Amino acid sequence: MDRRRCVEVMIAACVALSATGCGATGLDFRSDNRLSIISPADRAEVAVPFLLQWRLRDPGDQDSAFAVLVDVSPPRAGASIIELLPPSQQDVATCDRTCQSQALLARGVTVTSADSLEVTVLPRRSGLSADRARRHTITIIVLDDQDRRVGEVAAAIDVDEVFR
Amino acid sequence: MTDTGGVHRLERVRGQMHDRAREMLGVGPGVVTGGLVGEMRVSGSRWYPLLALGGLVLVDRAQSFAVFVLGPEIAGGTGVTQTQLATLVALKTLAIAVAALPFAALVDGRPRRALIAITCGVVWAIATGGTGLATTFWILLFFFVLDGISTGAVVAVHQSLLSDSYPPTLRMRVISAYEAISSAGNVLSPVIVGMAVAWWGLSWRGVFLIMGAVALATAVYAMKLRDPGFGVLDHQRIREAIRADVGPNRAAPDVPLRFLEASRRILLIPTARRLLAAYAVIGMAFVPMTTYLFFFLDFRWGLDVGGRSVVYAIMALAQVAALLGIARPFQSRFTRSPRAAIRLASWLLAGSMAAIALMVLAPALWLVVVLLCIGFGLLAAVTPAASVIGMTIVEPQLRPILAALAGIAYAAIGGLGGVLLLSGLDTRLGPAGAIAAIAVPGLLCAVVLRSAESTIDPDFDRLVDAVVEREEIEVLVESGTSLPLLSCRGIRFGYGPIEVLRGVDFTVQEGEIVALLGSNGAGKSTLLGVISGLNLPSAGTVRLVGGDITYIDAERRSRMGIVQVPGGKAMFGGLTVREHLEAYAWSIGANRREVSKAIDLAYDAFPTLATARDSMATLLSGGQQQMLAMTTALIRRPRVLAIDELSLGLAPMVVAQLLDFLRQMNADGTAIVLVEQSTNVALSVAHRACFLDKGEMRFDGPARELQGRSDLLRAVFLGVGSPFESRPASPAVTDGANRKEHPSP
Repeated sequence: MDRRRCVEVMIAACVALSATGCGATGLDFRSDNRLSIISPADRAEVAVPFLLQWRLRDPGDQDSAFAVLVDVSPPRAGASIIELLPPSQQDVATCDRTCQSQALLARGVTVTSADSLEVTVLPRRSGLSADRARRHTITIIVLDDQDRRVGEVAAAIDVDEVFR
Repeated sequence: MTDTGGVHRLERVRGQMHDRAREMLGVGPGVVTGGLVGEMRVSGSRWYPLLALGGLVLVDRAQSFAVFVLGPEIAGGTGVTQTQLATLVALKTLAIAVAALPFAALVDGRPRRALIAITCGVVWAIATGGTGLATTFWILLFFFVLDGISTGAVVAVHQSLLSDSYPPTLRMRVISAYEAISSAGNVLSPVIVGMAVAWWGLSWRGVFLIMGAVALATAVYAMKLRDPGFGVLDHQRIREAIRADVGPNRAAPDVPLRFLEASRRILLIPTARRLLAAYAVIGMAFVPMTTYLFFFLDFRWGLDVGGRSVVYAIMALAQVAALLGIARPFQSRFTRSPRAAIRLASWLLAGSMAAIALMVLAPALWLVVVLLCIGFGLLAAVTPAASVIGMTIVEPQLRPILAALAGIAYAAIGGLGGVLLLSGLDTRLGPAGAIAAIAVPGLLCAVVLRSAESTIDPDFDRLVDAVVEREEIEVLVESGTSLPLLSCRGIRFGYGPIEVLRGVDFTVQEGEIVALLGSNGAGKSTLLGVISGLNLPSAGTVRLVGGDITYIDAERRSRMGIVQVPGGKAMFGGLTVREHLEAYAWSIGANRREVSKAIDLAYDAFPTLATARDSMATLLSGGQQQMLAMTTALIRRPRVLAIDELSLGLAPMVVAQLLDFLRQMNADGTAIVLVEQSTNVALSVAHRACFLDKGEMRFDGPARELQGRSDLLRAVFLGVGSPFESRPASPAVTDGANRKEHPSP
């Protein structure tokens, strides 16, 4: 294959790739900073229980609830929060809404329509140094009425747990 | 070579050319180096290859660093966990390490490095832009691995291409500048991210799309890169100098090394092994330690992402400054003596490790930053020195492979090995302990690198001699001088620290039978192994009709006509006589008719094998087994047949049969090297005899003359000490008729 042909193939691959990307929905190419955490501050030292507060500016039509995730990565845009559960708990036939809510709580995910939450427990982590074991990441995302993530808007802070 | 005039001419030219060739490789008192800009102008070199390749590596480094900077946003946007993100980075590192060797294989002996560099530049652009469009872990995985694979090309071809684009006097500084541009990517990355986020309000996806566009523009800029060919500015000039001095050129008789042979050959170079150890430590420091440094700056000094990015940018600036500042001292030391460059590199490595270890104890943040700048600056400065030294001690065609091996040492051994080592230490000691602990392997590696002081000059001289010898052999061929069928020159070989062959010279002419004699442990069988390719020497060359086959696989040598019949039972116990003969006949690619013909030939040579055709080889008598071994050699139609212990434990009548067989093979054109304990047997058939003693060739002359040397023969028969030990040193005797006696040193 000569150089010209090689470049043509690469450009074609580039275009094809871009086309597949266009099929995805909810990709934010601009920063969405509407959601922010008011307290505690990033990298603050906290002891349970503590109050977590946040604010959403200019809520959209779809925005109806929040998910607070402790040491859990959020689902991708458009995906349901239920996808964070094991497959056996995602089917309402085997695990109803109450069961799913409890399972989410146990996993460190709380769904709420309020703009604050009292965090009463932080997970214990093993296999890490002491400093890193007490570091927790709290992420808040916006959900629609079907518990699906709205766009890629998110706010996250790290907190260091202190024990009294 | 055996033509005395040819040998003398070769030795004379080698002596004359040695210093000049060193200077052409950029080493010697006659080499003058100036500033980078002035030297560029004087040498007529263009900036374009440096800028084009530098641009490519800059965008790659910026993209890689952007993953660190934007990691949390990527994880939040795609739903991957931090662990998955770390896994992606590790897999990318693995892809870099794994892909480097195949890319080196792609350019093995074929000058298409520029095409690969450009193509991979376009692939980076796709991978970078694609990362911005990824929505799941698996899509991210695809683009990270794609990026890693194409980065493997950087490792394998960029520095080799730069080496061949600039003369040796510029290389250290050009490669330092290239590394400085690469490090500048770490400074630019947070700046680009910051600008894109703050000014244009872009998300991480937007940043990656922009970076993909920049990468594509850089790849387009690099489109005019061309591969200048291997060694055009060093080895080719040495060859041209020899041709100008002595005569016109002729096609090279060398047998090109295959990829794995070339890789193995590099690993046999002591300095190369030491440099690879240094690369592993540098990889350990740069790949996993970067992560632990993040944690250390976070937990010990409370720096957030912004603060850590600033520290990293300052460190990168220090690396740029170190690379640019230390390039000239390195170049001048290297020009004076490669040993001085090695010494400086080892001190820098030790200094960098000490600074990094001390950093964890620093009581103030400013001191932490200063020590990090010193540590990582010095470490970065070692890289171009190691690269140029490595490129100087291997043939130009092997440079991409050396670079790929260095990439593997850096990414796989240092990077991934370091992750395993440091993660365990991190759990027990925390990030500070893990970082400090790396000083232990780092300082050990500095000692290993320092030990290359004793190996660099022999390795460099070996290369210079090889280039001169190769070219001179072409000239000898052109002038009509006949070359020996097989020649070994300056062979050194050891089993671990025990050196068995110490600079052995050995030749075999067409149609000759040479007896290789010596007491037990003299190195006879080892030398046969070197000839047949079972043993690879640490120094010296093996040539077949002038073509260098020193590092060719035994299997390829067998097809080239060098066949060895090992001592003892040279057969497969589970096969019958006929199956043996069939297996060997098929192994040379014969068709059914030729197989049948070869088997008939074997049965004609030894009718006793025909009667035992269906017997298992293990059930044959000792004589029959040796006959079978001889016929398997006959089937392969060797040009050189090396036999280890023909007569051991056999009846005189059987030995006589075997000797007749050998004479017949020899009469049909096969040269024979016969290692024998029985001097009577050996000298009854040999034209020439060589006597090895403690790894050195003591006698090389007509067989009948050795029969008169009772002192030597006693050593063989009685196993007494060396006959040379009690004799005073005397000048070597050469009667001009291929007889040499080598005195004890």
